[in-house]
Amino acid sequence: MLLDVKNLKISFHTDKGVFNAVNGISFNIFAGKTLCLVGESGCGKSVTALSLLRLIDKPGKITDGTILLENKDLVLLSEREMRNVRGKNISMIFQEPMTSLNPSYTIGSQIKEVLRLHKNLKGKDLKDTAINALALVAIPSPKEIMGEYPFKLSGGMRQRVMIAMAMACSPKLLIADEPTTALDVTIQAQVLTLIKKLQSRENTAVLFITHDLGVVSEVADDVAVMYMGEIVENGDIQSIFSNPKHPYTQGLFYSLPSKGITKDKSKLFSISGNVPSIFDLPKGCAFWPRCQYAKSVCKENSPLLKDMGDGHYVSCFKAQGDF
Amino acid sequence: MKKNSLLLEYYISFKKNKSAVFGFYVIFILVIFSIFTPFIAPFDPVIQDLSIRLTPPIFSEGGSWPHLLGTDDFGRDLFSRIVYGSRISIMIGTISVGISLFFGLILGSFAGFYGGSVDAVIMRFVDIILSIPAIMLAILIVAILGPSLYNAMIAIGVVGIPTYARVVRASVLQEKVKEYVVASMVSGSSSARLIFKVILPNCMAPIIVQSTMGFASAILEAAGLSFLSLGAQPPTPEWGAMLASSLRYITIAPWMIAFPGFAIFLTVLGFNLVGDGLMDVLDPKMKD
Amino acid sequence: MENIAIGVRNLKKHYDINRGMFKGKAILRAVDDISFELYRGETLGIVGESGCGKSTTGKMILKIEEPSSGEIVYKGKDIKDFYKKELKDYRKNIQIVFQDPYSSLNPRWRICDIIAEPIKLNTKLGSRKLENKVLELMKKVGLNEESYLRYPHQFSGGQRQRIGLARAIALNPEIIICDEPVSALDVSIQAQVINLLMELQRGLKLTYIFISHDLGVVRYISDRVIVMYMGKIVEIGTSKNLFNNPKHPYTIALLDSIPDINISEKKERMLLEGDIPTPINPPSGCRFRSRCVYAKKECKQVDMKLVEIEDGHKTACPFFM
Repeated sequence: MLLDVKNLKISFHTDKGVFNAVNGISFNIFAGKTLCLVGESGCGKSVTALSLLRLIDKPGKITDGTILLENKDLVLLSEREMRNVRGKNISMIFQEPMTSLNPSYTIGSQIKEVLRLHKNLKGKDLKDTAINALALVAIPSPKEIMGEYPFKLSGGMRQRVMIAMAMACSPKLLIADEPTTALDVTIQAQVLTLIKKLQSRENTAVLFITHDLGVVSEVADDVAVMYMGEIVENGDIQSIFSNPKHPYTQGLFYSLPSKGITKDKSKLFSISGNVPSIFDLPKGCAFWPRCQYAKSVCKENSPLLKDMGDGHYVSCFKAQGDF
Repeated sequence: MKKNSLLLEYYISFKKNKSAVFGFYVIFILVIFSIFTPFIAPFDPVIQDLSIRLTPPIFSEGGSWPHLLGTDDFGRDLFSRIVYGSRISIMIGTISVGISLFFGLILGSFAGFYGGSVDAVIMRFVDIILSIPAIMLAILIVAILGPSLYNAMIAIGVVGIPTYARVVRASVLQEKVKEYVVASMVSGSSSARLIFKVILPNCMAPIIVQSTMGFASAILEAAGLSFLSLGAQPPTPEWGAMLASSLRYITIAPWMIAFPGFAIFLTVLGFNLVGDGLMDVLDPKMKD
Repeated sequence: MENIAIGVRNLKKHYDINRGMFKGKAILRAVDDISFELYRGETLGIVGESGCGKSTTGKMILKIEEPSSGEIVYKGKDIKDFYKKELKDYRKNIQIVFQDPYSSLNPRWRICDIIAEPIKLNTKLGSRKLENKVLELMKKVGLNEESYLRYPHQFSGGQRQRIGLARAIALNPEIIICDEPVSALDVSIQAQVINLLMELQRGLKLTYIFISHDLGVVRYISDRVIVMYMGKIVEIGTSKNLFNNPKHPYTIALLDSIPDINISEKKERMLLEGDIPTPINPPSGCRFRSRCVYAKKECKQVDMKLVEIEDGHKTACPFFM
């Protein structure tokens, strides 16, 4: 097991009140495997990712839990020790390739900086390794690209550069936060293939954050579904996709216009209502106001994650057979 | 759910910024002084009484009630003159900023909205004003119109137009391309309506901040012009003029410089703090 | 023909690009000679990736951009020849719903004013009647009456799209152009808004042009679909025919790129290499040939004219039959 997160809690102290962005989640990832963290806006998935790199700033704080990377608890490390981890043991790629690259520096200098910091390379060695890193992500004419500025590159190319920079030091864990959401669908397909290729080459563990179930089906070995700061269901991709147990997960699947459905035949299934405000969380199960199966037990008590067999966990009274 | 107005949210955010609130109280006191002047100032600011000239402030040796801050070289009560001066300062700020804002708004919004040659012509004109050093331009205008407080206000107003024009133009350019503007266009809105009802209300944040800061700098500039005898003429109790005429008494009666100087300092500080506070409050909300 | 709402013929939009002193001028062919018809009551989907020209086409139909050449015909007349009265009538009958729920509503106006704007600008309704009309519209799109006086920032993304929809149907238009109306929304909300769009279409007899890059949604919601690539139409057909039996290599590649939820059958997919080229200097002949796995020498001479293969199903690839 490479990454073992237990009972992670992250809260934010704003002038409107305190809210728990992440409310006690646990998950793990093995080397060479991909865990997809699925959820919609506000569920806490991005905050979770940032917390692994200890990049949560005031007014946010990790208030509980452990993050074990190869048995070392990242929560307890000092800022200095974390700097050694970032970019080297764990790296991250983001959604917006437009803003994650520094527009004032050339591609070459940005990639070289990463290499210089963590691999201590200099001179020609540094330059060649950088060019190699670009070639590895299938960037055409990598030598020329070294001297270009980010604005010259397309979204897909910039994302490849980001991936090159993230993988340059062969990290043990790659966190990808919606890396293809802003890309065209044909480019998305290329980038996903690339990530999978690099992952198998380096045996990297990947934490892939997305809201797109299609993308999940392409990359995931395991899936964890988040809602309002909690994991409501997790398991391997086979069981989650063929047999989703939580009403929210089911709702996500049913909401997708699938191949058979045409508008004449039926309306699209939609999960009723809106995501509640984090300051106004319902008592009991966070999902009950939108759940078609909700009963009184759901309104009073919060369900806990329970193993339904074969490592498929769900936190729902109905799924657990309690009514 | 409560009916939250935008203003209420701004007010709550503003209150949290302690220095901004301090600045607000300073301005508040200034406004009170200027409204209730005859009730606050114990003496007439202009009538001279040479028998009590150069009396020190009450906390110094030789000072006496009721001359709190002492008297000047003509025996006029300094405190009263400063209080009357606050009225003048408010007027300076209002008129100068008013002129700059009025013309700046029109020029900037037309330039930003229409673009092309309209933009080019307007901005070149603005550049010309900008290329002349502010103080020289102010002196020039006052020289043409004649030295008086009102002409100084006009001069300061004209000199400030380019800044407001630029701020408005930049803001309009930014908002113009947003979809809600296109939506109004598609609904059939006329250009004038687009500029004034649709776009400009969304440009208020930088304009308000600029105006607040502008109030402060107008007071400073007026003080500067008065100092050069180009603004308020004696015996008008304008703070800058008071500074100018007190220079030669600096060793004998330093309070004559200190208090008007302090009044200018405090007022300018107050407006700047409020302006900073407004900037913090208005900007993040705009990003919502 | 009575049932054609809008006819587009040989529409082009070119921009002159100045690439600096040494590189000189270039022409960006955003939309390069497209022709199609929009039938009354249908939902016509336009799909394609960045730079294909779908949004520009929508803007020209809305008359927010002027075409470089070509015609857009409404009620028998080219819209560029419309005078004041005809233009007003056109604007009443064709509205838009935008992609970004956050920038499509004036942040400084209350939603009652936002929804009422088109009515105020085009009719002389008194304030009492206006208020009733706005409340009626809010009800139609599923907005709570109590939020009448609220500001946009107090609503969620899905609710803001509903406000945008209420505004769009305010004048009872004939045609609504939906420019990626659900792309910025969460999946669970997308379904709600799509259902609302369908409901409104049935109730108000609307005609939609649905511009999107999300093929799953387009397949569900559209009657016919146009696929665009680099300013050209590469395929037109009914939703069923086009998606079940695509007849252009680009359409196939597009369909293959969509990640398939069905994990049990992972089939062979055609993945494209390389980036989407910019429409500044497109390849000669067929624009897709630089990325097409079936490309032959002859593709350099292809003129990308649409050829009808079966009823209503046209393709621009003469070799792919």
